[in-house]
Amino acid sequence: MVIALCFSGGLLSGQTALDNREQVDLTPRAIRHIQERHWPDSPAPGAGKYAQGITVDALREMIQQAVANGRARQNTNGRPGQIYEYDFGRPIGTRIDGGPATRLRVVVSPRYKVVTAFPF
Amino acid sequence: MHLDYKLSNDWKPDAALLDEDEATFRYSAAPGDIVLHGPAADFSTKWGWVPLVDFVLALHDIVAKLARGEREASFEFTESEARLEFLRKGEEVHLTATYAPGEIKTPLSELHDSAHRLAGRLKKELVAKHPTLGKHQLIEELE
Repeated sequence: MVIALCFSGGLLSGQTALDNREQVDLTPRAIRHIQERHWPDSPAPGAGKYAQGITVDALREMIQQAVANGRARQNTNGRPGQIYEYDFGRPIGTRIDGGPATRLRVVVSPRYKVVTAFPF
Repeated sequence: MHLDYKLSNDWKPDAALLDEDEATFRYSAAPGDIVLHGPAADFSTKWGWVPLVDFVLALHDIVAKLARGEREASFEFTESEARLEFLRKGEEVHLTATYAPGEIKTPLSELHDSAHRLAGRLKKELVAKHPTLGKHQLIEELE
């Protein structure tokens, strides 16, 4: 079954894509991508924002926590990679409607590189 | 239904982006907005960051699913929890959005044709403005 999953790239319900808890790579490009859209001072509308005081180190820690403990699913709409969603149980930022966001969505490429990560 | 796009004027692809993996390219390339409205609803975005190549590819994927007989499909925006929902009812598709009220009804055939016209226009504009993009596999696939 494991071999079939590897070939298909599919996930069973509740199974995480990174069963061996590999660390994901947060590249400088990904950090810029996230800061431009989701940092507290980002002017980008319609995108979740991190709470004031967020740092790159804190972001990295939250991402690793979400990947290690979050619910995993295949990316959608033909996009490669996986999505991890984790509820921190406390506000970590704001949603697009301005309400408090407690969850983090992390998109990871098949090469374990973070593509984006935002509160919702 | 009117379907179009607005490419961000200040976006320029950096050389390294062309060498990035498909996921990174789809989430980053050609940011802008989608224009999508009907008589009773306007689902156009005003965010400036919607990756348009990704949107077109995703729309093709959704149209193909609906054409194969799947009743529902969803478009997840890349940087928020916002979604466009597609519900097939016979030969019609009913569109709703989580970020705007109302509903757009369109024949599946029109959605298919609109998606392909959109892809063609986007490819033409991107290659004209940024010729290096024309060699990228995902841009070549736009039609």
